[in-house]
Amino acid sequence: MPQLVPFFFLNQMFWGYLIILIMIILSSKFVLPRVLSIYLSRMFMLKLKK
Amino acid sequence: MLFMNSPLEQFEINNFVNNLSFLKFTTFSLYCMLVLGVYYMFNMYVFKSGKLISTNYNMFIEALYSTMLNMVKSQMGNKGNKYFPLMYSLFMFMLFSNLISMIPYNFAINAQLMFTISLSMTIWMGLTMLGLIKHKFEYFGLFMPSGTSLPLVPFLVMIEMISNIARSISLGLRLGANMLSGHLLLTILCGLMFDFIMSSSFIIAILGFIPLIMILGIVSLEFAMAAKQAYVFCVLTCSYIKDAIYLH
Amino acid sequence: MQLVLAGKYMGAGMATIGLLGAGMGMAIVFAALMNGTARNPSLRSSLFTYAMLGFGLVEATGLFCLMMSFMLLYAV
Repeated sequence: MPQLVPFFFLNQMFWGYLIILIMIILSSKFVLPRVLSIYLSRMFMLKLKK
Repeated sequence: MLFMNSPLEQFEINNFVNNLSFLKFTTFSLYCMLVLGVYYMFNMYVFKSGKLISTNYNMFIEALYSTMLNMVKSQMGNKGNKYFPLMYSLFMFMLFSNLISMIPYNFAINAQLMFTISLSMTIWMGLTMLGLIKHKFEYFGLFMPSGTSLPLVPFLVMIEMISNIARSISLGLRLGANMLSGHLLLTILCGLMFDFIMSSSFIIAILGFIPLIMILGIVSLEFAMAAKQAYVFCVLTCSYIKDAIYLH
Repeated sequence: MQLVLAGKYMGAGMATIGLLGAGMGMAIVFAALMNGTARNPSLRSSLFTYAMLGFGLVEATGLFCLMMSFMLLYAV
């Protein structure tokens, strides 16, 4: 099986963890607050209408 | 004409930059970058305008957001809010890498068993540390269900401990084996149909188009699997985090 | 050498027997989903997510068998 070549193990783990780390930082700093702010402003406008 | 010698040939990793350290740039890292690019495009570019009325792409992201938020809230309650970015990015990584691998002639990141199993082992180790730091020695109370009679205790503790350790492998192996066997199945079936169509007899070539319906069904099953395995991975990770935080 | 090859193929065929259990498990999951939905239709959406989770877990067990047979065929 080509999956079991030990030559690439460290490389896979390094790149995979690097990308997941970058994604966690991106999503916690930029993406999720932006979605939340849109939700909050929608809720605010709904309350304002009443 | 394109030949596939063995169905496992699609999982081979090519080395683009000849560098012997772990920093070398391979197919795996290329596809990781691709997943990050798709993630960045969907999440950052879509919300750049900051409009309140959502377009179709915004709907996609908002649906994923509310699904993940519901999952985290229903499993962990209010204590689990700080794990939401972790679950969101894990889900996005799994979903986009699985969907990219369903495009023909592309590489499957999650079929690399070593990567998925090491990821699940890392998650399991982090959860064990989290539980030990949070509850000190009371964490081992996780291994004994409440209300067991005294003679049964040693066996139950052994069984629970083994099942807890087996989680570390089974979580990653489930994802990896699903992707691996799905892609192998598609390759083998398509090779079978290719042999039929390329045969010299006209009737056999016509007959070879009949399995196309089955292949269509299996391709759609694989698309469903790609989304569902990402979901199952995240649900199980959530329930393990819940075990570590609340102890039952 | 031929005997080893024959043993390999026979083992690969026998490894798929485990799919029996996966099929039964899938049937049980969806039968329970139908049963629960028929008893209380208002719980349909929450039952469906649990059924999907159960389906994913059950299907993975079957795919372990399939993976074993593929590994016997191509990896050993």
